Amino acid sequence: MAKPVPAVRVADLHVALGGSPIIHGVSFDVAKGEMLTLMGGNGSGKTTAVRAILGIIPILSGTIEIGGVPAADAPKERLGYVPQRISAAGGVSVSALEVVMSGLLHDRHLLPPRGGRARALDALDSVGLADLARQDVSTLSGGQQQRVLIARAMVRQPDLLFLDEPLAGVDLPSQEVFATVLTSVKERGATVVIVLHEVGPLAPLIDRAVVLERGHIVHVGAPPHPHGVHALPGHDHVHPHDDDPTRSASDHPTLGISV
Amino acid sequence: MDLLADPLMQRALLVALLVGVTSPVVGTYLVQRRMALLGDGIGHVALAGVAAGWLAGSAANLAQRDVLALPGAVVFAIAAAVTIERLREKGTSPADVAMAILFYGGIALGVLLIGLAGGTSSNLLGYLFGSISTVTWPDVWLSVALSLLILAVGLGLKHSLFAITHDQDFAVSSGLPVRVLNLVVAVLAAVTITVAMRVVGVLLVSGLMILPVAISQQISRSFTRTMTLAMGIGAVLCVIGLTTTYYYDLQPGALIIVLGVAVFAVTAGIRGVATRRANRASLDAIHG
Repeated sequence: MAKPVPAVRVADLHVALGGSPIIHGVSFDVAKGEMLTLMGGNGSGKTTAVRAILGIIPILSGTIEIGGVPAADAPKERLGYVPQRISAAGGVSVSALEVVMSGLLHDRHLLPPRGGRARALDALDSVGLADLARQDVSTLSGGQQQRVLIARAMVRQPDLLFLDEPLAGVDLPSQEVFATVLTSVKERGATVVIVLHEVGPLAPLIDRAVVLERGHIVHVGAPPHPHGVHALPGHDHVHPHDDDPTRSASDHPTLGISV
Repeated sequence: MDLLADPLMQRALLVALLVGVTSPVVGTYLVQRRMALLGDGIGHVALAGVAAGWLAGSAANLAQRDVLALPGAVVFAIAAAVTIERLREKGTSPADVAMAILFYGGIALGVLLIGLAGGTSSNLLGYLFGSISTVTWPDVWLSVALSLLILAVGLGLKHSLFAITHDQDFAVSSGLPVRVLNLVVAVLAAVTITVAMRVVGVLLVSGLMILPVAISQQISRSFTRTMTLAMGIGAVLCVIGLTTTYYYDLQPGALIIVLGVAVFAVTAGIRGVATRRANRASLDAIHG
């Protein structure tokens, strides 16, 4: 029986930034419907790997396939991406609705489809921001901005979703929204690649972890638990937040996630 | 209304109106990308194109030696815009350095070429500061055609152009033709500058692209509203500025820009006061 085509295949990937090698021969597959986390400390190359898979940065060598075809040729209609934070580059006010509507554009649609506005409003509603659709995103809190980015990715109803440290610096209500969205994505059978510093409250959703250290894979399998990458041998830096009673994710370790 | 009966003013008003409406369209994309000074860089190279047009006209012994000035400006401006975009994309030179090279290279080349064409630097003055009173009907029709092109592309592709100027990484991950769309913005900027050059001149052309956006930005909370309002503000500034110079002996381009700066100062001041009042009201509500 033929082996099923993985949703994502990365083989012998090498990436350099500004002449400095960041990823050294990394290979891994992500099965369809799987929720895989890319973990590692700062500078381990996890964000770089995602950006390379998405074609945002060039690769030195290696193979990246999405759905069995080279990533550059793969249709992007049902591919979602949530970056770490909203683009701060703009000099003009941008409403939340406009940001989400930009998620409806892809390689086959340079204009929003008919009914796009309603879809974008629905996506904002699903992250609890329907009331703020016409608000300038720069005036929203960090957590609300992150929810706008999640809505932008979800408006495509993605079959393959990439998220880059979606919980970093995010308030508790936004974490709860995020957990709900991710649960529904998993129930829908979508494939998810999520970059995390530690699995934390998302542990029940994660199927497998790929842990990177200085651009090399050092662990593939069950996510290091309960403190994520911090539990790995050799990971010896200090974690001042471990004893911080005010830390929201520690107060709500699972955010109501059940699988 | 004497001025509307004057054919010269009819032509000038039509061009000013077109320039006022179209310039902020591209200006909004440039401000969004924080490349507000791109217009200046391209404008300076367009001046070299004007001089190259004169040189070509002289070499061909044309009766009207500056007839190729505007086409020359269009070609040079597009070449400059594409060069800047490629430099930005490749990161070969920092954006400000690339812009400075174009600023000085464009002006210097323009002065040299106009000399070779047998003219003097004073022949370039009309292009440096605008010369709307010399606009001919062929100029008007060329301006109409180019303005319609700018509006069709700049508004027709608004969603895609917004996507690449707002978050290029996301646009790349979505498979949008980012490189092509970036070039579209650059070429639109170049065409806008050559059209607006006759009204305000290359030294002030960036002001006409950016000031209406900056004013609109004081009031608007969305990209579309900012662009739409800026188009209206640009049109009103150009028409009022030009109309005023019909009655008073003032330079139209300079007056339009000074009016824009004044309106910006007033709207920014009003916004500042309104924000302070709102903050005070919030504080009062918190403390009862």
